[in-house]
Amino acid sequence: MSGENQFGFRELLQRSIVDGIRINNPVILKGQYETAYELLRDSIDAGVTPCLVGPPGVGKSLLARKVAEDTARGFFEVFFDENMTPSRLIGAFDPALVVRRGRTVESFEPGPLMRSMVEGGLFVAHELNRATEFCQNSLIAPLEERHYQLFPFGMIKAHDNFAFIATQNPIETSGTYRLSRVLVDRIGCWIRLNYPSRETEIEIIRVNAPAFDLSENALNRIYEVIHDTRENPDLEIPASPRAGIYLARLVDRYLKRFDDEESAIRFFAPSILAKEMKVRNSGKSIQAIIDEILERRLG
Amino acid sequence: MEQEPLRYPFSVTQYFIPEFIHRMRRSRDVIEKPSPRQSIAMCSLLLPAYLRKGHISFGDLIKVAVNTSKVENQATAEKIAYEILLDVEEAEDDQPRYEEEAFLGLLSEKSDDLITYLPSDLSEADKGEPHPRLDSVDMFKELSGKPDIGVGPGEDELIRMAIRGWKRERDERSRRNLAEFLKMRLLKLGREFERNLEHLHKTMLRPFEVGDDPELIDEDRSIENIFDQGKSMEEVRYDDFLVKKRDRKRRAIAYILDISNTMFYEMEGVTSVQHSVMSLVPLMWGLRRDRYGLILYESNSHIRKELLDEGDIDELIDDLLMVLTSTTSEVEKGLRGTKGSQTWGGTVPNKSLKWALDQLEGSGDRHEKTCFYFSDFVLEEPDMESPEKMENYQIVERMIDRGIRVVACVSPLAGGELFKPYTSVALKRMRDAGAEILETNGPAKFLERVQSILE
Repeated sequence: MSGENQFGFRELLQRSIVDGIRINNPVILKGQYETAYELLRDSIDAGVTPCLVGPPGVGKSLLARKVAEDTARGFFEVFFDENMTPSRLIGAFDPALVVRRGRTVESFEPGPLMRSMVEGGLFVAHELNRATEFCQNSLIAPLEERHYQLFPFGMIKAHDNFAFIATQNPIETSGTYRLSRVLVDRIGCWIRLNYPSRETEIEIIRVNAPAFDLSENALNRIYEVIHDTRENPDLEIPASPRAGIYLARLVDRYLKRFDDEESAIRFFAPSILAKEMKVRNSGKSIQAIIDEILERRLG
Repeated sequence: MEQEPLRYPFSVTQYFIPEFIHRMRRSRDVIEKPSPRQSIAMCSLLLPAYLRKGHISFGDLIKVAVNTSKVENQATAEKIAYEILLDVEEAEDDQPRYEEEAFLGLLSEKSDDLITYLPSDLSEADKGEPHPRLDSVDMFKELSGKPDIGVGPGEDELIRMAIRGWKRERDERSRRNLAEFLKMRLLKLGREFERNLEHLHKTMLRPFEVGDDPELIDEDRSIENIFDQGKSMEEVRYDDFLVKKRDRKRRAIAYILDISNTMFYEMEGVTSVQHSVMSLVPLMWGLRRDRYGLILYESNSHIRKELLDEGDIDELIDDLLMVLTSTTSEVEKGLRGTKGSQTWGGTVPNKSLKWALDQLEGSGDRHEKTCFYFSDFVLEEPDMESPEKMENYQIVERMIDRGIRVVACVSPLAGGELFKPYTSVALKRMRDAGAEILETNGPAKFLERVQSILE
């Protein structure tokens, strides 16, 4: 990177730093989402740790963000995988500063969990069942006793506003670890999210398409195509509401290039759907399944 | 009814919550029993609902009962919550059958299934939750004097006994518990095997990154590095420190399991397929962080997981454990349903071997490639040579030529009088083709040999 570009980047980075997060589009709190949101708020108010469980793209992260925004808490998140270590989660000492100043507060670089504990933020642990045993163990004390023993400082007590939400995905289990019973026992509320009802999903798609002016017919067609993937026994992982949103955005944006809405859906659907679906060992290709669905729904 | 406000909500919850937890613990469908933390969570979650609405309804009680239960127990939790609220007697089916206890003593002295329940009498002083019966019959006591039943040769004996016990047992619940027990023991062996392989990982050094564990800093090499650069103390940065990084050897592994009819032949109470699965399960678990694929074959080949597929190892292991306890016709039904007119049960491994070759070849050059082939190697008719059968060995030779290690994992039954005429030629040809031969006569011993091969 040249010095000039680097300078430009730093300036832009500085300008991009915002306080807290804002959700751009309205969050639909209907049906299962209303219940889940209420349970999340109640759990946090009651000091019970909640975990949202559901397939990808059903809005687990969005609900967690919504809670952070509505309760005016700072938002910290971590996506667990094999590379996440307790030191990244909690924080670690900068060895260069330790050499100069010793193990002081200044030489400690906090991780997101420690920051949310100290600042009283909402910590969201995405894909909790991908956390290694080491990371799972690091979560036990903050979840139950709301403190963490950090050498050499001693016991760090969490801010009263500190809250924790976990999410996990029951289908996509590759690389997952079994949650230890000790950790499972400390999660007091298990909130299941499934694919939403027709009415809710169409509304979700509508509010997330930028122009909000897709016709009812187009929205219905998009929903039907997405919904058919969930009924198809050849698919192990069907399309999520997120796929419906992406499809609606593309159709909405480029509709003028096509004769009608159906043609636009037919053009964009294969690229969107193939990306996130997974076929069982039935011998059918993903393309053949998409073609069948489009043929059935769009003629 | 669900939305009806309760007149005295907290007197209801005082009864509802302990009763719910009590019934959940007694339910056969709930494997991991709820702890007292769930009762606390239920109380805690009812309070915000009460403060928000000014009342609690039956619906709230059901909601907290369901949502404080783990996802897999939520259907049972809902049923139990309704039963309590509708004053329905606990289902007869959920009562433990005490005549089973002697057998269940097999599992563990601490098993939840051995709980003796105190009568539900609230007037009695709280005696806490019931404790496991410690005087239950433990069939493994007959092993006293034999090797320790930790990880080691004693573990093999324990697992073999469990399998024999399983075969005799017809009760579904006991079989399920025994399956859990077997799985637990086999995975324990797998973990031990994984730990034993740890030292094979090379240790490398790399600059410290924010978030690294300072415990991993190699102090001597870091000081050397700082001196070499001639930096003063004030100029030292965090990335001048070097941390030890374990470089895992990347492996690509294809597992082939023979499920042809001869694999279900029994000798001394154990079949070849059982010997194979008992060794395969801990091996797969120990190497689960590597890329792996699994194929089963008889006359047909059944791909269970391709090398690059995402897959649930737990599910695969559960499937394999089902093979362990099934007859050949049950496996056939499980794999292809009730339909299907192809021949079943023959020994046609060439497609599976080709699949393994293709998978491993496609896995890139950076991986150490191994094919573990579990079979009784009843591949040959005495004094008969057919080009199709020779093709099997040619594929093995091709694998070896391309740097793939082939490990023939042979059932102990292959050495028996009955099978020897069929297996001796096959095993000689496998050896001549370059395969390494290991016997699967006990998972612990088998894993020790695999470890020495991998080293």
